[in-house]
Amino acid sequence: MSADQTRVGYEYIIIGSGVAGSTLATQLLEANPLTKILMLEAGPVVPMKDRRYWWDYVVSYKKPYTHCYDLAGDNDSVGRTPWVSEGSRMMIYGGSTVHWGGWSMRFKPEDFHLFSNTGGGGDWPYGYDELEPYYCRAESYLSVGGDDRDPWRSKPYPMPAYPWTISDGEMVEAFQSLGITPGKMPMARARKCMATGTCKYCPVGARFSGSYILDDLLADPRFVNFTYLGSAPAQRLECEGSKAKVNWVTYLDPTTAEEVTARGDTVLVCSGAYEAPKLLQRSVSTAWEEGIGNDHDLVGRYPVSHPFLSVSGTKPDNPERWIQEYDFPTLMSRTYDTEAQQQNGKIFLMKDANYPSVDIAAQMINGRTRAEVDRVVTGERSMHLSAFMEEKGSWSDRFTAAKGTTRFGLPRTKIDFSHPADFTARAQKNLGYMTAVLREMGYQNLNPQIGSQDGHHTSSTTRMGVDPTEGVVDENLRVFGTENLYVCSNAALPNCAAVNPTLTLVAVTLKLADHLLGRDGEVSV
Amino acid sequence: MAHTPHKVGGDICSQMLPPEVLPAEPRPPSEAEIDGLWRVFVAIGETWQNTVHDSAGLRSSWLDFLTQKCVTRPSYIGEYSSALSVFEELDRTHGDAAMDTLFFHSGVNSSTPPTTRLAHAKQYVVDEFIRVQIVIGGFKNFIVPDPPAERPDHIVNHRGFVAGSRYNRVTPVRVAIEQTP
Ligand SMILES: Cc1cc2nc3c(=O)[nH]c(=O)nc-3n(C[C@H](O)[C@H](O)[C@H](O)COP(=O)(O)OP(=O)(O)OC[C@H]3O[C@@H](n4cnc5c(N)ncnc54)[C@H](O)[C@@H]3O)c2cc1C
Ligand code: SF4
Repeated sequence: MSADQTRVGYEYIIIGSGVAGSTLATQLLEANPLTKILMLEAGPVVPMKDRRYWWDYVVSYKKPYTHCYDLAGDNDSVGRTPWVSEGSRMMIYGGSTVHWGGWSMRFKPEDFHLFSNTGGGGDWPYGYDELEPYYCRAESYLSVGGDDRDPWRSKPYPMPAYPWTISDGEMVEAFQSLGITPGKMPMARARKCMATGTCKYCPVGARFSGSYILDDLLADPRFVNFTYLGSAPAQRLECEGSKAKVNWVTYLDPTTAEEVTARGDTVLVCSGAYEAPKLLQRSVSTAWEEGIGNDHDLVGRYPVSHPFLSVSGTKPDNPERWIQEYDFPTLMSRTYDTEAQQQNGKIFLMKDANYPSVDIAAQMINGRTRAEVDRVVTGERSMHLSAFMEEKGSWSDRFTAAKGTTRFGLPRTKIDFSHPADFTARAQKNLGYMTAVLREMGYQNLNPQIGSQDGHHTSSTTRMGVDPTEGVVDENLRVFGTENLYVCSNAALPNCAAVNPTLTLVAVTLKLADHLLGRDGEVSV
Repeated sequence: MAHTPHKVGGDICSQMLPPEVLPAEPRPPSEAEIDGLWRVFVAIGETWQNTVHDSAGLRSSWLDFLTQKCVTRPSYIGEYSSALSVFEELDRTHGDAAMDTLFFHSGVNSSTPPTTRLAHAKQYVVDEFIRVQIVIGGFKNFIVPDPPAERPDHIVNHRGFVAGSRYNRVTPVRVAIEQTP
């Protein structure tokens, strides 16, 4: 390295500004405000809480950040099962929580033993109880509200649950008569939530987003050594002296697009489950011939997300004039999310937030009279019950770099993924449970569907394991064979259970922060 | 022979324009512009009879919308002054039926790009005002036409409506009767 390149050294280099990266930065800086941190982010800044953007979203459904999604040509899906990446993640200041829904369920104790219980997927190197105190902290951090009945909780939610809305009522009853336990959807929404129901672009910042965390960090006069570089994609990692010391990060300078190299005592890869494995694979040297942490050919393997199952049905009229009053679901169930369902693939049930819905304004715009609009509002209504289905992951599935570079300066992604042969039969079995609910509710024209394999919850591509033959990172998220390189991402989760992963990601992020600060085992809520 | 797209209004309405928002430097709307546009917003409530007494209670939200659209880019100032000339022409050609013509008989297909001045006024102004009107409270009367006396107001929510904090004593949505599991 030249003297010029070593001029600026950091205690930490954080790659990626999403919820993982921004939370780690917050924890490190709150513990020691003078910590020297460089945060590299590939994406641009998009203003949040902007009145004009909000009105444009309300009036035309236009989200101001769609240019930060993957484009159709950014990825090659080459397996038997098409893997859909468009809309699945964001390259932006604050990362993918800029557009997330905020549904915040914990994984359940059996999820930590998936391999032991089923012979598929990965076991965690530790059990649920070790993460439980961090779940409590994560729920406070994200302002999660839910109901407190779950036996796997040690503390109540920090916020109250949202109520079941009127159109949830008949599904609650059907659940109960079929022996399905209805629950309130745990949601990350701050106290200032004003129920505007435009959560994809919240006007007041009530729905957690990594971008608000960054705003706070950058505005805080105590954090003089925190440097944020946007539009600065990390290209590769390099070692210093020994194979175990990964101190150098090469990235593209945001103004010149030239390669620049910075030194960090510790490097934290928080670039999401697509980019983390590609960055390790690309970091090839004589010491790491297959890429850093890839001596056992595990980097990028075992990807999972959630196949989306849904059943829709209709009733001929809507006398109570139901509409969806929140922009998020309020009714869910974990009855089929149990150890007994693991072999088949658990499902997490939720009433779809988009139904029943009537676009009154569209009727008026199209010149319908008041009487005609009333007829539409009280006319046919549709109801959808949806589910995420758990996947176990397979060694033969893999994320790698494809030829070419995206407009964010990141390599395109090759996704080789195929559902196992018995997937459809197992999904149909789950759809059977779901169809029974709508039938019980008296809906007709029932339409069970196996949706696309979307990348929204992509996980496990550099999974945790007890040793390097099982995983890429250890229980502290440190890449096996290195002393100072960590992957903090859904990529590190050994599986993705049947629920959204972010609460669990925040819990493991807080645990990693404690580890980096030498506070292992000292959790306080 | 050139196809005449619309028979509504006169030369101003049928003037051809590119479909994009008319270029304009951002500035706040003038009092006269506000008054001219407010008339259309009020007419929406009167026509669909969904603002129970009048539209005045919605004015501050509408003004926030209007101001934001004018003072930030791309500014709608050009669209708004163009629309005012369309409304004036409709007054001249259709008299008392001007608003009805605009809402029900404009011949404008709102799902195709607007290429006349009339279509610009319908899509960029009237259609957006309708969306705003519904979102800021106009939806209520469609969903609860006869509100019960004990909860005349915050009984129902809608995407975009500022319904109140989750700590309100009155829940901002219609709730299901909860049953003990
Ligand atoms: C539509 C949608 C809804 C969702 N809703 C929910 C939900 O309700 N609940 C839930 O739990 N989860 C939800 N998720 C998932 C959630 O968004 C992710 O779990 C979470 O945001 C992951 O956070 P992260 O910090 O690991 O990664 P990200 O937030 O994706 O951040 C990674 C950042 O790293 C940057 N980056 C990548 N590579 C590089 C590089 N080489 N150099 C520099 N920067 C780089 C990226 O640009 C990005 O900004 C949803 C996802 C989608 C798509
Ligand atoms: S309902 Fe959604 S958009 Fe509205 S204030 Fe709450 S979090 Fe924000």
